[in-house]
Amino acid sequence: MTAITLVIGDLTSIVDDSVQFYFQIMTKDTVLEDAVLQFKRIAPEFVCKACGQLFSGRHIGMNCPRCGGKSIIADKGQEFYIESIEVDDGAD
Amino acid sequence: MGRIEIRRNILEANETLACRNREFFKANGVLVVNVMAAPGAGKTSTILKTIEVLKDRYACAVIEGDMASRIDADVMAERGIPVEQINTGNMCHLDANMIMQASGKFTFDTPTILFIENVGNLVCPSEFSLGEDLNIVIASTTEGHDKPYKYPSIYLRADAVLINKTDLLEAMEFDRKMFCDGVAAVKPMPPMFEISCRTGTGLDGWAQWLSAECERKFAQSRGKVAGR
Ligand SMILES: Nc1nc2c(ncn2[C@@H]2O[C@H](COP(=O)(O)OP(=O)(O)OP(=O)(O)O)[C@@H](O)[C@H]2O)c(=O)[nH]1
Ligand SMILES: [Mg+2]
Ligand SMILES: [Zn+2]
Repeated sequence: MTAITLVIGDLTSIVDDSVQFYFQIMTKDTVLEDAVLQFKRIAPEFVCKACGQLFSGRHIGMNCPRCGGKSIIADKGQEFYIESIEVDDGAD
Repeated sequence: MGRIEIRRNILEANETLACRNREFFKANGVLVVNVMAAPGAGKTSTILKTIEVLKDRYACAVIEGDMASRIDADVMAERGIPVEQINTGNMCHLDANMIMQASGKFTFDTPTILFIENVGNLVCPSEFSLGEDLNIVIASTTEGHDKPYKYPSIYLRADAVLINKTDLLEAMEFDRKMFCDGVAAVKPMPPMFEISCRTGTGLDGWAQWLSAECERKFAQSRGKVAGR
């Protein structure tokens, strides 16, 4: 069995179910036919413009949980990459 | 089971082609402006009006991206603007490969501004680099002031934001502050221009900013040629 781990940020337009759906179509009758996709979703991270507090959340423009200040998107949430592939290497 | 670390960008193929486009545009003295907006926000109108202001100073060309039709390309061609239409079929965005094919059809013999009108969509165009120098997002008062909160990823990439249809601002009860706060919650405030393609308001300020960007880019490529 093969397992593929994908990392997808919540700020991208990539939807797990769609990836799964097309993956199945594209891998039919290939060695990857039975491969399992694992999705790791990354929530966006915000930073408070007033006090610098980092926090994760779902909504743009959320106020800081510590001081109530205005926030801005920090760098997480835009990922879209293959993290790893697990393959049967016959070791165990 | 063995675990193999991969850590590779899934859109790598597009990024590679976008880099190649960037080299091509640099070598040919082309400043590329990727125009992204919702359907009907005024991409075509803004490109037309901007070219009207800048055409005596720079050569301009346009790539039109639409799922179907040549309507926007015909408008450009009617005014003598060099244009290539890309029909994406069912694709909701342009990608670097399409731009590579289309840009090869122009002759760039003087410094040129190439406007790319992306497919009307606030979601997918933001994921695909084309090899552009500038990403411009056009919001319009008719679509409402809450879009930066609902479609943050497109605003994340904006080098400048235009608010179009300001002639309708009051009728639409467009809340400028709420809109700007939304953009500022996504990224450090990019240059913002309020324009109306109907009345012409604000177009000069925007065109001035764009020509300053052009001067910078063209000076760089001249410097590069001279330094060779
Ligand atoms: N009132 C008003 N109408 C405008 C303005 N700019 C564009 N329009 C109108 O809005 C409609 C759409 O404009 P387009 O420039 O075609 O918009 P677009 O974003 O290119 O549209 P698509 O390519 O179809 O996604 C047209 O009817 C324009 O005349 C403006 O500043 N004010
Ligand atoms: Mg158009
Ligand atoms: Zn705070």
